[in-house]
Amino acid sequence: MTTQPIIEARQLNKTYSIDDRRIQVLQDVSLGIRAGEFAVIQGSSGSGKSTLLSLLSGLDRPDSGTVRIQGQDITKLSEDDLAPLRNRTFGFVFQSFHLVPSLSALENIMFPAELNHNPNAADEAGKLLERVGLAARGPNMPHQLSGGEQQRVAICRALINRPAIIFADEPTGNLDSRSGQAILELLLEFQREYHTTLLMVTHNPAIAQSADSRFQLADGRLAPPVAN
Amino acid sequence: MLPRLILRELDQNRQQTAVLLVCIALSVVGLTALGGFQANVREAMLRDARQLHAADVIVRSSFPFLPAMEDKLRALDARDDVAVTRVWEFYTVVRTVDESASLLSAVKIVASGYPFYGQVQLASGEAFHDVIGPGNIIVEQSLLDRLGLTIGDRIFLGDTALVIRDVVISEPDRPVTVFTLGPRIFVDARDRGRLGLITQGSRVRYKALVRLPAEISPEAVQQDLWTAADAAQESVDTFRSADSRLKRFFDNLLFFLKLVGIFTLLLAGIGIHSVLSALLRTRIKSMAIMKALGAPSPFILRLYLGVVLFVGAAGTVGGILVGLPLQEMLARLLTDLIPAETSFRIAWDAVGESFLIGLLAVSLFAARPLLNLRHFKPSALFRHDSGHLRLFSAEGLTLALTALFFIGLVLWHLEDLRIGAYFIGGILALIGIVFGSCRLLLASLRHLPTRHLMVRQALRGLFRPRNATQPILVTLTASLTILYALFLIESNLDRAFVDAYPEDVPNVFLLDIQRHQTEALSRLVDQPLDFYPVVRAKLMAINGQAIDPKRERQRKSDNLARPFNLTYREHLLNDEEIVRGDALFDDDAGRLQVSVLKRVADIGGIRLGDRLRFKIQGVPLEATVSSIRVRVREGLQPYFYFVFPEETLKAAPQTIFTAMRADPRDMAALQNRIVQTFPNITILDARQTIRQIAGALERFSQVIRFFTLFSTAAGMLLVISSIIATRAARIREAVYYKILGARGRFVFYVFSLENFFLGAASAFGGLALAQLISWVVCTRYFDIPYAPHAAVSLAGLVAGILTVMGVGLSASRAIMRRRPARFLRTHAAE
Repeated sequence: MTTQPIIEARQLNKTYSIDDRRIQVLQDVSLGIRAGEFAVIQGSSGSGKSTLLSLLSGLDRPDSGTVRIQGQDITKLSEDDLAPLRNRTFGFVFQSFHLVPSLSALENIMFPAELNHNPNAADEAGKLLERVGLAARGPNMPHQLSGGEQQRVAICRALINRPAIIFADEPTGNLDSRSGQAILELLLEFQREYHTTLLMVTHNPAIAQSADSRFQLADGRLAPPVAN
Repeated sequence: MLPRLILRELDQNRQQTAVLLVCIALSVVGLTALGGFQANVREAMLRDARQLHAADVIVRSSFPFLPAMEDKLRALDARDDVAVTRVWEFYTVVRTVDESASLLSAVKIVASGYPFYGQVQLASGEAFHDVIGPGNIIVEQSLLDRLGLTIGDRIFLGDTALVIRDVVISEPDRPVTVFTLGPRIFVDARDRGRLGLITQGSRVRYKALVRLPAEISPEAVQQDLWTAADAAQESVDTFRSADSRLKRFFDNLLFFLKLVGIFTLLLAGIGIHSVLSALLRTRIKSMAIMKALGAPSPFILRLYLGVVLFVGAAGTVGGILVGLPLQEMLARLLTDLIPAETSFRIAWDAVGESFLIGLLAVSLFAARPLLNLRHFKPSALFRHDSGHLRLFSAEGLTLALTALFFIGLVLWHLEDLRIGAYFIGGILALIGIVFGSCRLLLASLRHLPTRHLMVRQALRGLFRPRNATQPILVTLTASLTILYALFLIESNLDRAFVDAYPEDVPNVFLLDIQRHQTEALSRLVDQPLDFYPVVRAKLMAINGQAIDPKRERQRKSDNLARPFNLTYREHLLNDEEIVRGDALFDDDAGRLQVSVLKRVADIGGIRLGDRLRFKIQGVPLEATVSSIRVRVREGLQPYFYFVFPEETLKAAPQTIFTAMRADPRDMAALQNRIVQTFPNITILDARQTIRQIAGALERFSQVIRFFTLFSTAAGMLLVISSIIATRAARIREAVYYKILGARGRFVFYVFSLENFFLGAASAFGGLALAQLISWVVCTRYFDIPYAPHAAVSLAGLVAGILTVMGVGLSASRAIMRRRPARFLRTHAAE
């Protein structure tokens, strides 16, 4: 594990407008996460956790402040400049799985590899599916899979390009405790094996306990980081 | 509460509501315009029927009236309270006095009293009778323009120079034809004899117009005149019974336009069904919540019925409001062909009819999705993807009612059981073939293995839940088929007759030649000519079965009740072959014989050995069919339906006709030369005539194409509706692509490809069917060689694809621009 932060945020501010109301979601948030670390963002509902994850992963832009990924400021990048970063450097796992409904489980996993022009996309996707115990479910469409199965497919999809960072937004939030535990174990297993940085948003204190570092958000402000 | 909820529903689904509204408007706009146009023209024809014929009773003949009829007319004219006048109409070539220019013109010689009703309007504003007189003529402006003349100049008609006194603006009994061969010239009847143009066998329309006092019934006079008429060549009509060519022309034109109108209604109906289904699918969650809160099924049904009726009424009114001004556009396009007195008012009958048809169509097409709401269960709340809910099962009853509605509508509008049945059969076959092909195509695309990522994503997009891929393909393909077919048929007609006028066929036709003029004419044009004797006659009976003029006139193609040109010769022409019989005539037959062209044999079911009875200027002639001929090369060579042996017809009153090839650049000089020497000969420049026909055809096909565009618009609306219905799914796809690392370009290409597939499948399918239909129509109906017009077909194909892609991509623009974070925020709770 190096000491150089792979993710570095400085003075992030974000407000949303709902009709004529402006809501400050994040205020002067700064943090750093080292490569290979498992970090957790905690906080109550509406504290800004998911917004922070969106800004750190380049899915959204801050009103002010910077986000550096591997030393590169991504806040000024256009959507198209962010595309290769999302494809090769980041992997995403969401609470609602967000599988492409028109693609089968196997095709969903292959998709980022195909975008990356990987000629072995199908083989590698098949191996990942086998690894998570869903080899037989490859041809199934997302709506034919259970929640736990969908999330395992989503994890495979996030990992197929061996990204440096995985952003996980409450990945167990829509699952029962047993499935949730299995998913968490799977994510950590891959994180260790692939030496990936895992940044997870979660409500679950037990998960937070197992993280290398924790960031607590309250009313859009970050409490000092806690190292486990 | 219900009205408030209805308004909320309309407000919540503004885009889908707007598409549904336009679909409904499209379904009635064509029928409204056509219905109103027809009502106004018919009203003008009924109101001004006397003016349209300029008389109470009209006697017509293609020959001089026979003595019995002349006696009757003289007796009528002798009465103080009755007036009779005469009119002669024919084409002739007129020339300037310096012999430098000549022009084929439509001459109308009128005796005093004409017209009994209506007015001949002159540019000077003077009364017609004050201007027309011996030595004076009144002409159409185009004659002055084309010959470079002005009022006061003289022109030669036949051997006589007459002074142009005025310009005619309109005449009450103007003959209605699709095209005219030349401008009108009015001549005073007192000049008729010295013109020398009406000779034996000339193609002249003879008319006697009768004016009656109010107390004498035109029908009684008609009956009386019939007793003296020879039905073979004379017809007697009242202004009410006259089978106006105008009416028949409009009946035919509106017949075709109504086919297009009903076709549009059908396609728009598919659109209504599809859009409404999509709209209801987006409301599944609301319905589930209402049901979970205790709302009964009838309440939900009433709510959405209210939405449908509101949008249905608004759409129908919108369609009517657009359709009304379209009447004016139709009137402008057909301005020479409608009665001058026609004024375009709102025809409330037609408006009411359109409103009812619109609402009925909406109710029927909406019935299936609405009735199926009864089976809807609130458990939908617990399912994430409502696209997979089986909310819309088939309802046999509503399908049957919809089919009945269309069959009834077709029969009502087309007023002809046989044609109606053909139309219904044709449309059902077209939609059936299109539907079947679409299903087959989609089934094969669904499992098409493709390694190319973008292609695969685009193909998958076609099967996105709630995508109306199949209805889009069916409506677009069906409407493009009609558009392409119209275009191909028109192009083939142009190619056969206008663009590529063959080098080796005659381009000048000389009519009304007298026998003694033949040798001198050959010398004058400096080439050997084939002269064809022409005897005008009517076919009276086949095997003793009389020809029924009324039934014959109902035929859309040629009919057996019209006057025919008979000829006589002993040999086959170069382009003829005998298909029944051993020779043109049987040497040992010992009875009168006639050889018949297969085309007319097919119309009348005439077979070898049948007995045909003709009447030639009152003289009956019965002959047995000795052979049936076909033409081996279709083209512009002269041909005759009925050919007799020389000895049979040689003594009959006749003129001579010939055709020749002339250098188009010398056409004017040739025309001048011929009319100077033989003023009675009528010269037709075939190329110019054909160009005029093509011009007229182009106008009608413009009108038909315009109305067909409405059905294509219905298909385009389905593309938009489908995109709106699947907006959320498309945004989700676009966002996922971006999250997973795709560039904006990738999303654009995938959506473009999806629309390309839709456009390409519809355009290819439409073009293939159009080629087939056009081939059948051209080779079987028009009897012309068929060319697929590859280059223009390709252009049409590309235009079709680009239009669908353009419509699809413009509707998807906002979707493609959506940023991922916004979508994830709003869908985090799903």
